[in-house]
Amino acid sequence: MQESANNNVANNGYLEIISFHLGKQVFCVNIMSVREIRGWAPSTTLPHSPPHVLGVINLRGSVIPVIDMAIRLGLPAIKPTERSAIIVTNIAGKLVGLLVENVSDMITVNNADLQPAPDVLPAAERALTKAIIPVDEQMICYLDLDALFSTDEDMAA
Amino acid sequence: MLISRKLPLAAALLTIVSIGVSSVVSLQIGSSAVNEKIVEKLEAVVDGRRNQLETFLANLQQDLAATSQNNLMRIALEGFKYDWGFLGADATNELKRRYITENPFPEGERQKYDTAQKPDDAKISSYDQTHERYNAQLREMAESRGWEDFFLVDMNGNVIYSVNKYDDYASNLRSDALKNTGIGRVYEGIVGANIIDKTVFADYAAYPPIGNQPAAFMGHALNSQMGPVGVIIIRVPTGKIAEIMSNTSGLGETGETVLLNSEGYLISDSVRSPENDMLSVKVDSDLLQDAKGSAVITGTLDGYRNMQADVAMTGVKFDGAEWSVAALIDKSEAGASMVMMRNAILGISLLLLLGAIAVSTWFSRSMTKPIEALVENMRRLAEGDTTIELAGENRKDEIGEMVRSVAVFRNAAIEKVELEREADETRSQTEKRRHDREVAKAEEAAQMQQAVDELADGLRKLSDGDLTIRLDRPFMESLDRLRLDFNASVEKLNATLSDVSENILGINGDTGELRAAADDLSRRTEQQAASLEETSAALDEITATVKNSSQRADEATIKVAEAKQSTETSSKVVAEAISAMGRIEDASGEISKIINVIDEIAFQTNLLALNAGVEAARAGEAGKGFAVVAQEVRELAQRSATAAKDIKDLINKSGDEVKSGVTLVRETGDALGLIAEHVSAINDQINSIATAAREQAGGLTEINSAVNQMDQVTQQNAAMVEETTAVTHRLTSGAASLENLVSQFRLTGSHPASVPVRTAMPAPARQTAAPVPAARPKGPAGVSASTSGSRPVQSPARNMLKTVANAFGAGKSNNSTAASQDDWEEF
Repeated sequence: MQESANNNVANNGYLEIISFHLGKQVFCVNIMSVREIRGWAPSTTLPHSPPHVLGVINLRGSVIPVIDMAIRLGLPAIKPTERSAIIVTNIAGKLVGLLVENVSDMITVNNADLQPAPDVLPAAERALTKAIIPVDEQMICYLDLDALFSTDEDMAA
Repeated sequence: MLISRKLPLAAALLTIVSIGVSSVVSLQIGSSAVNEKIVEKLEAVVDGRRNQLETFLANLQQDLAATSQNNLMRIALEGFKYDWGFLGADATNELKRRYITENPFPEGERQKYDTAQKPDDAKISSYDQTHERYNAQLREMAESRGWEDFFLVDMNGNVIYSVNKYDDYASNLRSDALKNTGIGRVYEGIVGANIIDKTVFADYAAYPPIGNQPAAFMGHALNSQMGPVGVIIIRVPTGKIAEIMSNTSGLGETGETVLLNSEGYLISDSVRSPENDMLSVKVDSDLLQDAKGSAVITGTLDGYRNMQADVAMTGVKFDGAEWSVAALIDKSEAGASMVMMRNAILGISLLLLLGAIAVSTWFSRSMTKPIEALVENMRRLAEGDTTIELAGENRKDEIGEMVRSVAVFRNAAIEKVELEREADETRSQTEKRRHDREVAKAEEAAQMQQAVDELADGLRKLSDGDLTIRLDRPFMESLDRLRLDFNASVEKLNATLSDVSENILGINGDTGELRAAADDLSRRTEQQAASLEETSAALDEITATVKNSSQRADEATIKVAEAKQSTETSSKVVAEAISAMGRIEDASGEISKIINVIDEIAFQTNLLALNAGVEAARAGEAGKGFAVVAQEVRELAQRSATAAKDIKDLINKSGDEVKSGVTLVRETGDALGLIAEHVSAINDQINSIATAAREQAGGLTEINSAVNQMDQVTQQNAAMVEETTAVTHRLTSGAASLENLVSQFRLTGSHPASVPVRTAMPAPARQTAAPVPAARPKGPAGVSASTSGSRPVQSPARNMLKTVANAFGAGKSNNSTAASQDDWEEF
């Protein structure tokens, strides 16, 4: 998957991402996997769901799950505010809402700027981070949503 | 005629007349009362009987009417009528044979024969069966109601049944034998006149079937739904009526009540006669005609039962019959009680008459006897005999009065003799006393002449200045007081003049002292006046200063009031500043809210721009331009968000500033309040200073006026000291002339020798020689007098003046001296 991503990156030359904050850290996802960005709204909790699954919301008639990205990425849980946002993504054909603290920017980066993540994490964890993108003074962690979802399933299994 | 005869005769006559008149009157009243009573009783009885009778007859009517409604009667009548038809043409004789001639019971008890059917008879008659069925019931009904007989009659007039079976049984009521009897009339009255809804009555008349005994009948139609089917008739129970009328209670031995028909025949048997009187005895009276109505008539009745009777009558109206009830009683029985009453009254009158004659005789004797004795005594007194004995003085009546009057005449005669004797004695005594008085008068005149001579002599010597004269020979008793008073006066005058000459010596000594003291006083008064002037000047200065400070204090008060006003105004400004800051805070809050809205809009715009960006990215190359626009919008949104945030910070900051400003202003206000309080306190202090200054000024004015007064008084004192000096000189010369006057008298005692020595000394020499001890009988030393100059000293001259005043009365010339002395003491 990393390879295909890399190939993809290499082919396009440029990559459009949407960056967001979780605590002090900045993460980003590929804009092509984003369907919509919404303000935060309370979700309906599902019974026996894992801690990072907040529940489900109604998106124009279709029910989609909402995941607290902070918990999913091993960070302290986000306290949702009016300025929080839900990024609705299309992961492997399924719509999933990601609760983030703050959507910060829409950035176009050169593929050459993508740098691989260091080899210090276990393989499963490292698979979540596709690359690190340095923008200005910031370091943006480029997340692999497919991995996120598949790992999620693995964990659930 | 003598009174002793007249009195008893008059009493007897009076008694006879009064008793006779009252007896006759009471007899009259009694007899009429008894008569009325009897009549009332008769009226009550006759009314009661009438009511009883009417009630009885009304009940009888009701009974009959009720019976006619009874179904049994109709059924029985139909039965008998039906059976009558089977008896053939000669039914009358057949039934009379069966139930009268062949009846085993005698006449009067035939009703007990229930049936003529013999048990062994082969032929059975239905009439006998019907008779057997109803006879017992109908008999009992008639007996229980007192009816004398009961008949059932069909519409043809046949008596188809009767209870008692007299000759009228089974006869026809239209036959000649019966149609004019009571029963026939009743039948015709019902059937002929077709009266079916009420009873018909036939009055008492002789009735052949029962042996021409009187009988009355009453009947009623028996009605079915088709109309009348027969008649029931009863014979009226005469026995019951007789029972009502035979009650004679309350009517004495001869009284009774009887029932009369319209012609006056009795229709109830009289209980007072043994034979049957019904329709045979007649009461023939005019009253009968009047007694047809319901009113009760009273009167007398002659001839009935051979007696003269009182009678009360009234009418009974019943179904066409006109009856009267009469109650009567023999007059001889009614009058018996009157005779008894008359005899009793005559007996009692006779007894009273005898008693009255006896009492009146005794009473007149008791009066005439003492009068005769009194006449004898009066005759003797007229002849001059005063030794008479009078009896009956204690009687309370007019005779007692007469006896007491005679006693007064007797006592007057005795007293007259006594008085004549006493008058003779008095006359001789008076003559003797007059002679004694003339002798005493002559002696008295001689003594008086002697006393006048001596007194004239003494007074002449006194006018010559000789105070040694005394009257030693006593005068007559009544004038001796004159002599003693003269001696005492001369003695007193002598003593007084001796005192005067002694006091003149003292005055001479004191006058010198007085002059030295006056000089001393004059000097000190001058010193005092000087001091007072200095004091007055100093006081004026102080007053000016105090007034000045008072003015300053008032000014300060005004200033303080202004300061207070300023602080109050500042407090108001502070309060306004605080409220203005509050308004600023409110406005900041409003701005914050608006900015929040702007922030929210910026956020939403940002989200929209992001979404637009996402859409543009997905559109690839075609969305490039749109992505740029979206980016621009995002930047704008971010800028507005940033600006909102900045404004919010600024607003928050200014809010904090406002808060601290409010705190500062509030502290300023507190400080101002504190200042106001202090200013008030200062105001109070200054006020009290001003008050104190005013009080001081007042005090100083008072002191000033006091000093002025003192100054005046000091001036007066100085003037008075001069006057005192002058008076002292006059006093000295006065004393000298006084000595000359006193020396004219020749006094008893040792003084007259020294008096001329004192008068010889000249007045000025006396002033300079004041300190000489010989001239100062009183006062220890001159030094002490000068040191204690301001103290009042009892002046010897004053003592002397007092003495003189006591002796001769107050002298006018001494007043000025005494007044100056008073002033001296006051100072």
